[in-house]
Parts: sequence; structure tokens; C-alpha cells
Amino acid sequence: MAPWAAMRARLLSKRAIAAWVLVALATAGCQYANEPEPTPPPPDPGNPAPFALTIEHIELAPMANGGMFTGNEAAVPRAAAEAAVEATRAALARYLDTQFVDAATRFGQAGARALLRPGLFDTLTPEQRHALGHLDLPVSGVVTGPATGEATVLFDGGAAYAVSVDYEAKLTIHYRGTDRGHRVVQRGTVLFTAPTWGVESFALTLDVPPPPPSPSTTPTEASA
Amino acid sequence: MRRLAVVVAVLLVVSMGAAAAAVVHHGELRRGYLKDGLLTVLVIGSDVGPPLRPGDPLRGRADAIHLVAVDTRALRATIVDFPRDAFVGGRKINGHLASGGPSRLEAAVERDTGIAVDFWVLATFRSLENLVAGIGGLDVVVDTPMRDPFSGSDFAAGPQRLDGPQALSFVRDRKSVPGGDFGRTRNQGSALRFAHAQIRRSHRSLPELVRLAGLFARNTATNIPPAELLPLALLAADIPAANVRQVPLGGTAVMRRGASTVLLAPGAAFADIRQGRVGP
Repeated sequence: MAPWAAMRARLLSKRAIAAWVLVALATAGCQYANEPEPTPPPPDPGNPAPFALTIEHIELAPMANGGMFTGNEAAVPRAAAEAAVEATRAALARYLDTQFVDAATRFGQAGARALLRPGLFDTLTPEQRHALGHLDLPVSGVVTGPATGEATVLFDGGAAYAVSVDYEAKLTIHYRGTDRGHRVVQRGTVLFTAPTWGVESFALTLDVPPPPPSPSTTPTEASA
Repeated sequence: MRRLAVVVAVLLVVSMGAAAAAVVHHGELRRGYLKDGLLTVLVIGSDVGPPLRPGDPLRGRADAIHLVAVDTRALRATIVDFPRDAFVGGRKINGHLASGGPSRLEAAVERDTGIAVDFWVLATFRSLENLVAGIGGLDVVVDTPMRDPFSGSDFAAGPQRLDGPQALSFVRDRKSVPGGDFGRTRNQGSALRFAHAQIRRSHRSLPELVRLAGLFARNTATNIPPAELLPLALLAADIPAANVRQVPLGGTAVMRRGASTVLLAPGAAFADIRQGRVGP
């Protein structure tokens, strides 16, 4: 019995060791899981990420006749509506990146021109152009923030005719010669219409803190 | 320090100013038929259509006929109300729909008025109820008390909000309104004015106008191309309510071939529109 007992003891010992190893691994895993995620590097205003625009809600406005002739409303296929919403989401995201993020184009005309139906930009008032983000600002860097929207789509069974997107996009801009970031928010609605799918109508606000006075007219110097 | 405070205050005001109301741009109609700047739409109410009166609404009798003329540049409009018994196109106007559909009715109106009609729009009893429900009820001002078991009207005089069935009875009642069918026709035109004012007041945002275009398309038959419904909704929303004039047509009731008909006395109503004089 003694050899069997010794062997059993040895097996038990191995099992015990294995159990201890498993417990140790599990504990280590739990500790690892409980450890805070490594802090991501702070966003670099000189190398901003593009906007990740999401459409959080889609409202359908079907045009197919609602039972006027038959007395029964029929369901309308929504594939055309969903495709149109995705296309307009992508177009709006491109506008936001061109208008506010890309160093070569931000706060210029290119983003707004590409968003609007051809020729419309040239007919706009200065206030309308400003609301679209065409501003003369000494911006040195940008950090993109959240961008979310809701869409309403006018469509029939085979085609979409219009999509309005009600959205809000936030970013932080850095003016040249300053370290502090300034929050910029654009919110409102743009209306994309067939057949060009350029924006024909919009209602927008753009909140932009003014740039600090240039060094030659800083309050400190002026009062000195 | 004082200068610093002033600068900060100015910056705050400028910053707050930047957060003012939305800057709006509404698209414009740039269609070929608007070369003369005049848009005309014939609005028709059919007395046929499921579920109340099964049948083809496009072959019913036209119990409501209104010509809406819009100056798309000056943003002004005139609504001309035709009594259903008016003698137009060689017969009672409401019979043209039954005999030849909306295009025949449109042609008869064009021939007798000299006004080119761009589009027609047709609604039924049920679709009118749906349209009113879709805008959350219709705010009207009732001129005189209305009570008529046949149409279902039961309204005190004054401003009130009507639901779909009530709005239907408001535009159908010809027994308890002064002037009989003339009064009913005037109430129909008023309902169009009230609906327009309400859209201006409460449904003017772009998503709301998209919703309304869908609501309108689902509940009317029309020859307006689908892609032009939304531009027309934008146009309607841009016209101030005070720029809309209603012209209820009067006339003389006579018996013709055993039926009561109205010989219209349009005054300058048609000539004004032909010459582009639209609105108040």
C-alpha cells in the first residue's frame, strides 16, 4: 500500500499544483482585467482623426399611396430609403472632414461647395457661408469630437427623393500662438434632394469662439 | 484691468452672438414651368373613395374645386373657390371629374378661365381626415355656429382645433352655413388657408417638411412629379400667411336642363391671375 499511497500523494500533489497554477492564472487574469486600460495618448491637434458621424435614428416618410384607392395601406420596401440615408451620411461626413478637419481645406470653401448643389455656394450671403464653416480663422490644430444625427427620408418603393439630416458635430480648435483649445459646435439640418443629392436647403448654427486678439493688441500690452 | 474687463465682455458678447438663431437657406424652384413665375394648382375634393364610398376617386364628382395660383418670386398666392354647381366647360363643373377624370376638369377650368393649370391634386373624404390628423389637427376660425346632422358639423363660432372627422364635416356642411353651397365652398377655401398658415406656424423645419411631403403624397392623387413635392412644400412654407388671398366666386343660381347651376360672376379674379396679379 505504501507505494500506492506515495503515488497517490504524488498525484494529489500534482493536481494540487495544477490547481494552484490555475488559481494563480485566474487571479492574475482578474487582476489584469481590473487594471485600468492604458491611457490613450492625448489627441494630437496637428493630426486629427476624421469625424465618425453616426445616424442614430431614421424616420421614414413613404410616399406610396396610403390606401386612397384600395382602402388598405401597403408596406413600402425601405431598401431605397436606407441606401439614400447611408449615402447622405457619407457625404455629410466628407463635408465635416473637409470643412473642419483637413489642414489643407478647413474653414475654406471646398467642403461647403462639395456639400451644396452646384452653383448654390456662390449665391449665399456671408452669414450663410459662415454657418457652413467658411471663416477666416488662424487655426493651427483641430481635435474632432462626437458627431451624431437623425435622418428623415422621403421615398417610394423604388427611389428616395430627399433626406434631411438633423445633426450636431463638435470639435476643438487651437488658434495659432495659443495652447488652449476652443470648443466649436455646428448643429442644425441639411436637406439633400434628388437627383443631384446636393444640399439645396439648410438651417445651421455654428458656434465658434473668436480668436484671441493678436499679440500687438493684447489687453496686457494695451494696458501696459 | 478695466480695459481687460471690457475686452472680456466684448468677447463674451461676440461669442454669444455667434450662437444666435439658425441661419436658414431654403432652396428655390427652378422648374421650366415657372418661366412666368406663376404656379397654378387645381385642388379637387372627390366624393368617392374607400372606405366611406368605394369606387375610383378619380371618377367621382368634384365636391370641392379650388384654383391656387402662386407668384413664386413675390411669394404671394390667391385661392379661387369654385362652387360645385358652377357652369364651367359647358356643364356643371363637378361633373367633369366623373366623365373624364382630373385632366378633363383641368381642361374645362383652363378653357373658361384662360389660366394655364400646371398641376392637379385630388383628395377624398378619408384622405382629408388623414391629412388633418397628420398635422395634428386643423386650427380654424368658424365664422358662424354650424350644426348639421348630415355632415356631422357641430361647432360654435370662433377659433378651434378640429380633428380629421371634424375637419371633414367643416368642409362638407352646406346646410347650416350662410349661403348654402357658396358658404360651404368658402369654408373649403378657408380650410386651405388655415392649413397653410398652420404649416407656416408649426411645421416649418426641414424634417417636418419632408414628413409633410410624404403625408401629402400618401393621401392625395396628383400629377405633380414626386421629385417636385418637396420643393413645392418648401415654397409653401416660405409664403407668409398674410400674402394669401381667398377669392370665393359668386354668381347667379339658375335652372339649366332641370338642374340647379351657377352662372359665375368672377369679376377680375381670372384676369388678375392671367396678368400675374396674385395675392392680397
